[in-house]
Amino acid sequence: MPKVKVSQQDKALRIGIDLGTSRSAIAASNGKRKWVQSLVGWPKDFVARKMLGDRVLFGDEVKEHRLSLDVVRPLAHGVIKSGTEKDEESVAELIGHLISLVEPRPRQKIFAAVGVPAEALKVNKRAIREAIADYAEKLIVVSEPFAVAYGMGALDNAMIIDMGAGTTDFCIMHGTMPSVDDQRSLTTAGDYIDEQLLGLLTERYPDADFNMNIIRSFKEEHGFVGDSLTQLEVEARVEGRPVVHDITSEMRRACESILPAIAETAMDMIARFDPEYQDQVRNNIILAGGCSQIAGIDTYLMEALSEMGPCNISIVDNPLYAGAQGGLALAKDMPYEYWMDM
Amino acid sequence: MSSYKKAHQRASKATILYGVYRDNSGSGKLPRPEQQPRSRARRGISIGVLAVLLLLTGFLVHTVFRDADNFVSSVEIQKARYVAGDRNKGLPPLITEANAGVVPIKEGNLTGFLSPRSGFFSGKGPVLPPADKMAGKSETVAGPVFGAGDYQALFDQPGVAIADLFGLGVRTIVIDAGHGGEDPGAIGTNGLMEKDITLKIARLLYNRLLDEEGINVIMTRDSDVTLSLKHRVEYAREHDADLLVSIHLNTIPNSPLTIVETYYFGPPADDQSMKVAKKENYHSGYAVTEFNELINELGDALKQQESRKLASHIQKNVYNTLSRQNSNIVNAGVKTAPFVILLGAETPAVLAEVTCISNTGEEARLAKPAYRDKIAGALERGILSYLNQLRQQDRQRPEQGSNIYAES
Repeated sequence: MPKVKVSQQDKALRIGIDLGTSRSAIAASNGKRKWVQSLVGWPKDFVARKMLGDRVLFGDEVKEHRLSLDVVRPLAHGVIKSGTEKDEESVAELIGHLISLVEPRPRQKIFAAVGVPAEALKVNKRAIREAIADYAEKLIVVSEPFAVAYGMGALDNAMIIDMGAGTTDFCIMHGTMPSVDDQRSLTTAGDYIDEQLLGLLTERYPDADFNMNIIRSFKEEHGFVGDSLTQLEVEARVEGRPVVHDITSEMRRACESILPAIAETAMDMIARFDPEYQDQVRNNIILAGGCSQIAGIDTYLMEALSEMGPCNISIVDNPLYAGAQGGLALAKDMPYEYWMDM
Repeated sequence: MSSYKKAHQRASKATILYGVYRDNSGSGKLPRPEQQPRSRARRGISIGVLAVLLLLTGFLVHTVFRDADNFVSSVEIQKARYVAGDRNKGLPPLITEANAGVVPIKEGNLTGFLSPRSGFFSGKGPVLPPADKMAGKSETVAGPVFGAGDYQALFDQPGVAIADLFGLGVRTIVIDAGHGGEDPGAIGTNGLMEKDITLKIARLLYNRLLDEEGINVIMTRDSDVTLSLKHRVEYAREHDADLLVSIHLNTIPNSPLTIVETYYFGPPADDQSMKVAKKENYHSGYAVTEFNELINELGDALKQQESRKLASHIQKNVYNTLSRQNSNIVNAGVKTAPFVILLGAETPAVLAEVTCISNTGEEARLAKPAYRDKIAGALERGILSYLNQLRQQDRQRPEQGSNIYAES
């Protein structure tokens, strides 16, 4: 790397942001890193305002006061919501909140690398720019799997599968910026599992009260594919009384529901890749995103892909921060003249 | 890791970083060449510096007059003014939600300004009788041909509110930079091409409007590409445009005259407009039959009416701004002409001939970024004052009924 002149730009705070459908994370060059649930809430009415104050709420606080808030998930379905003013505001608010969490010095310049779901990158690059314009001096926007790949140094002959909540994004790296053909996106991801699970459970236990939030936390705690050693039991209320339900098979079926499509897409992408390097790519598949934490998912995919030959799948160490750390690495490495002015 | 491998990785990292740069600069964002980044930090610093300057001036005043009370109050007032100005990006205060009560533009003003009587000939410039005629005529023609009575009746119905068209929160404004690619448009004596200037003005306007709340702005072209008018029209339709503003430069062969005029769709008011229309329709990409079908689709009086209003606002602002730069500029007013791009768009659409590239003085000025920025600023003010007027009408509607739409 050419040595950069020491000047103002080195005082700037470099940040990497991972804008996710379910969770958003930030990592900054001052060593701080934080994450929040991608939820933004505005008090619904004057009662709510009296209780919560006239302010915007984020993350867990939103979950807590869900009933008295207008809640927006700014990146539902992997694209920036648009339509009402609140939708557009919510992204900006979320980014502002994330930046405030890493506590930049007052008036410190901020150079931000933002990773977004691949679909959002295509559809609303400008909305992202607008959302961050108030907070950052310079900005680059990249797709989420690319940020992960960059952060892990998997720049050559690697495949990243970022299984988030809204979308599953694929990206093949081959030593250059991935082109359109090297990236693909499926809309079946974590949220889809939740819906499947809710459907299966209400079918089997019509009397029990399950809701999306409960289901999501079940999955995050106990999600698995393949064989399970223990029985999975959860408590849910039937007519107000707690009853224990066995959800082992439902959980497996729901979690496995997204995998055939993922395996097929991965195989297709590898098959289209230069044959000389296919072996290398197959042995360098990296799973990222929240769904990579589902137990047994790597074994399942390895088996599914084994018809193409032996392959090796690894899971990122810390899926929560992999994207943000990758963004930060990118922000740190980016030569000054490559940054875009806001 | 072997040193070869390390070197290889470094090289590919550099390639990738360059790729990220290309990817980010290639689409989505335009460079903002003539504007300072408006970051909070920078704004804060500049406010600070100015406050210090003001304090110093205040101190001088203080030492001269030794009047402590006056000193404090004058400094406070100036500071307050500065802050207010800054929020509006140094432009004269526009009509915002906060000061909507003091909108300077009223229907009466506009017609007054358009009428030949209001004296847009300063007497200095070369006199052009047709321009006089056309300006007067355009107003008279629009009435009878499209049946003023027809849309009067429409507006008299209590259920119809034009604001409903715009009540969705976000307004999508399509900025169309005229010509481009193989079609250079008009070419000045010194070789300046219309396509380049319109694109630059369009970008400036785009960047200005980007900062406005509640406005979604898109451009038909963002580079030097050939686009047929058909393509532009379809582009606007696809993006559910609410307004379309097409930017062009006029050319008057063999004449030093510089005129500003704004068109909306209608039958040509005179031969000169017809010529302009012919020139601008040249690359339309529409077959004759399709064009006829489009004409049959006309009769959308609402669009017509709104287009005229938008044209008035733009014309007024552009002329006022440019006449300060060049006192010989002639206000040719709002006119109608059958431009394809205006007809095809389903929304209020205008074509602004912001100035004449055929005038060498104007050509030289157009080459300067500051002058282009002035034009873009004038277009922005025109668009915003039109939108604000709509918003205001929307607010007044419940009390005043539909009278506010009465033709003056």
